[in-house]
Amino acid sequence: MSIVSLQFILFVLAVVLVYYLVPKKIRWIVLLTGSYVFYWLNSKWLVFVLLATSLVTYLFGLLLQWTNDRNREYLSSHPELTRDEKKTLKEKQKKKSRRILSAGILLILGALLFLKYYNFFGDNLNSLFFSLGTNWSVPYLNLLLPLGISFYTLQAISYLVDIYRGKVQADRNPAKFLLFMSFFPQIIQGPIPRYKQLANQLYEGHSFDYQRLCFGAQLMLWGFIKKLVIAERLAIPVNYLFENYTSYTGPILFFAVALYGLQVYTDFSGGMDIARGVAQMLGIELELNFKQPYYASSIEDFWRRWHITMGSWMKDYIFYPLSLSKAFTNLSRKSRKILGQFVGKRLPAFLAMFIVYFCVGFWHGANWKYVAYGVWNGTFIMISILLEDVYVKARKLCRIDEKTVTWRAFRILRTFTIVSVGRFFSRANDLPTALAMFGRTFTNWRNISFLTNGTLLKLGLNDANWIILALFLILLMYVDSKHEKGISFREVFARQHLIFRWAIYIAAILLVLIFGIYGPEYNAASFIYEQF
Amino acid sequence: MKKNSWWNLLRAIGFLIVFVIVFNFVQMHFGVSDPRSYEAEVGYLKEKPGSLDAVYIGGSAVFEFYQSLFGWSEYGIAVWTYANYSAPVLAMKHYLIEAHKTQPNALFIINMNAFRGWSATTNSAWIHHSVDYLPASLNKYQMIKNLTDHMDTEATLEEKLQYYLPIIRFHSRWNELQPWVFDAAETDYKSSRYSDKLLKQVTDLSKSYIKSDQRLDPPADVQAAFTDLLDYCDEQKLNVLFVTCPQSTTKKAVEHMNSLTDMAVARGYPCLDLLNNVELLGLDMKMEFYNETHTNIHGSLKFSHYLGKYLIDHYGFEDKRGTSGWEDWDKAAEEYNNKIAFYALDFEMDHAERADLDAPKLIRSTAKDQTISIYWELVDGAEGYVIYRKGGGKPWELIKTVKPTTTQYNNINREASVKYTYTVVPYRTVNGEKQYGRFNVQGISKTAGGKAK
Repeated sequence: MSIVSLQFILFVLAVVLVYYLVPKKIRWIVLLTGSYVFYWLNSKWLVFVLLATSLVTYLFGLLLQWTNDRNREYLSSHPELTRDEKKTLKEKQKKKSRRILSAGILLILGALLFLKYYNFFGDNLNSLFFSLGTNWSVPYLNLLLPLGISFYTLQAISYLVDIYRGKVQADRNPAKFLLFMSFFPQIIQGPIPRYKQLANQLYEGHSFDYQRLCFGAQLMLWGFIKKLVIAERLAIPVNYLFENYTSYTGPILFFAVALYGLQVYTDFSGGMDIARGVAQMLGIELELNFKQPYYASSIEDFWRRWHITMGSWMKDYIFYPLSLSKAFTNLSRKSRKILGQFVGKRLPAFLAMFIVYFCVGFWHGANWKYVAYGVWNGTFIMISILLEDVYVKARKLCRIDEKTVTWRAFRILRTFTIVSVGRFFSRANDLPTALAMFGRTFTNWRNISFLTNGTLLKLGLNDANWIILALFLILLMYVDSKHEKGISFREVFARQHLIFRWAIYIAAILLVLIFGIYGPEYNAASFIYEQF
Repeated sequence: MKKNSWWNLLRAIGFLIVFVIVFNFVQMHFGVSDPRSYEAEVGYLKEKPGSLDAVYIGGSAVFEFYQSLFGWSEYGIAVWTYANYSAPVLAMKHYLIEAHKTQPNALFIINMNAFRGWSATTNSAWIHHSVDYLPASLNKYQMIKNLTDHMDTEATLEEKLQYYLPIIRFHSRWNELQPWVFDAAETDYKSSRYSDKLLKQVTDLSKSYIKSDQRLDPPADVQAAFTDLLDYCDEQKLNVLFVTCPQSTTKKAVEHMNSLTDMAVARGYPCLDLLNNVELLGLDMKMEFYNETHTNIHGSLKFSHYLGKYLIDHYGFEDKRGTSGWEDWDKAAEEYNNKIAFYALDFEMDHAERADLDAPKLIRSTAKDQTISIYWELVDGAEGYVIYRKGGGKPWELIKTVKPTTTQYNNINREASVKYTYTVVPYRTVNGEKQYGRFNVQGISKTAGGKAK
């Protein structure tokens, strides 16, 4: 059941209706049942992988909590211990907790690594064995990837680490914990929630709030527009150009990758809007995953606005633990001595950052192209940090006023270009294709006439569809620009006269129904981030 | 419940009602399925309830054989052709239920040719033709269920949704929408047709036409569907007439229809078997069909003439031409006759004295800006000329009747860069009736000047 299908809307309506009809105390059971029904309808028997991961996470959570509590109780019941004895005991307990945490993470991550990356590693090992002239080979396995595994794995890890860090208490109720791990609006493609932020919202029964219900439905509707009207329409020329890239050179390939950037944005953020909208209808606030990423003025800024929950996960569970680890502190000390203050100070952070972007790339999929995608982004961030002083001097030399609109527009365009070009790696079929397309893009730049010579009309969209696409992209830019200024359209609409509001909502629904790309005339729409 | 909650609930219900109304309108117009179904089913609802003499139900044979406005012009009877291109066997009862809703006292003529098929199974296109333009009702949804349960390939729930909400399938055609979907102009012809095929095509059926007096049991599912239809007629005590139309089909199909006819007769319903009694219609089997199963305009006019007279003779329908409340039928008939006049001429000539007048020689045609002028030579004995035009996507239509001394006609305001064809038909009046002479069927053509839009 796709979340852009009529069945999903009916399913949501049924869940919302039952949710508010049952007593508050058992409303979380409605969510749990709904979530498992949804997962079963989408993945059938793979639901047991989710169930197993959830139970393993639950048990390790309890174990970690029990270890932490026992330690605390022991310390408080033995006030006679000296400070040094306490310290030694704490360290001993911490080591124990860390071992439990590592075992837990290994099990949870193991499932993801095995199911998602086994064949990737197998292929690479087989290539290595072949080049070494051995007869060894890793057998290929036909593995099915459970829906949302990349997302709920990160969610489970963050839960265990947070218990280990003492930030949250382990959940004692296994059924409630199953709900935290499977909440249906976000299970497929996030946002990646934190236990502290989401769990209680799920467990407490929310009162019915008409306004919130309307706001949730409106957010869903906007998600539908983004996904069905814009993203799916963009997919037509993008797929055509990426499949037939050998017939093209020059700016049209950049055009293709720029369109793909917009497609991923509208596809993923559309899905997020739908997920957040559904959750809002149930009184639950999911975290924001996108904050007008194409208004970013630097790559770093872009990653603060793009897939925010993933970025903050990487920051909290990879970047900081690495940067603050003993090994990295030692590295920093040594590198400062050898490489000097400027580089030596930055090297550990760069290394941690590089690892983060490598992980980001690798998380997207078992393919070297995704690794290249992560490295591309990480490299630009590192370059921008390294050359920051040079930039400042250059700006001064050129007397650039940073507050001007043109300078901001230039920075936005520059960021868009770098991010877009990086998407050759994530969209092309494999790394060699991405590099080939990359190369072809920078040849024959005089061939800009594709915009006017009718080439656009041979990419699967006729003139009327290009016009619709352009109009909706302008609308998207306008809405994002207002969001950038902190204006909420939903609140603006809520203040308008009833007739005006109804007209807007009905028009929006009809726009999706008429201009959306869905139904038997088209292939069923699936989300890009569902596959990750 | 608090006052506020009641108000919110009312608002939500209000919104849903408004949405459903708007959605229904949009779906009706954006779910572009088959314009013929639109005319027959949507146009039907515009007729005053309980006003029609008869409703002729069936597949495409219905509207290709019988032209309602010709029946009106000749006899003043209001017979609506409630049919669409496909008409699956299992849909027939549901059509009858639908037609019965607004015209409960009408005679229901059921075309048996729809039952000639080898089974009651159906397919996606047929279901769309059958249901897309029907107004929402329990009968419609039962019909969809009935049809989707008997498809040639099993449909998933997702695939079945497109029949309940045709916009799911047809919304991609938003940029192919024609202006007619937004006005009812097409339905002004009271379900009568004037398609290019009907007007121009000829297929020789003289060798392939088959008739038989044998009986053969039809497939069980067809028989069951027909029995179900008869049961409904009995239950509702409907006034029903079963009709078969001549066509080129297999001997088995004819024999199946013969058996079904027997079933209807056994229940006491009259049957007009024109499949096995084609001579009653006086059809020229060589010239008066446009394909194996449908008459062209000439055959259609003969069929309408025969059936109209049969209805007058057997059911005593009153002549309503020129009477109050039927102005729209009078007006539609006048326009329709004008539209098909050029083609109907042959029919009229076959039934009336033909004037011995030569075809006027079409000398030349000129175009100056958007005015096209045609010139012809006078014909001895002509008392006037009728000028016909086709072009710009429209079939032949009568545009002007001129004096016997006129040899030139200027047709102004033509669409720039569009090719138009004209012809001139001489006539004279004998005993108060117009008799037409010969004319040049190819006509003379010219493209209007000016720049295309």
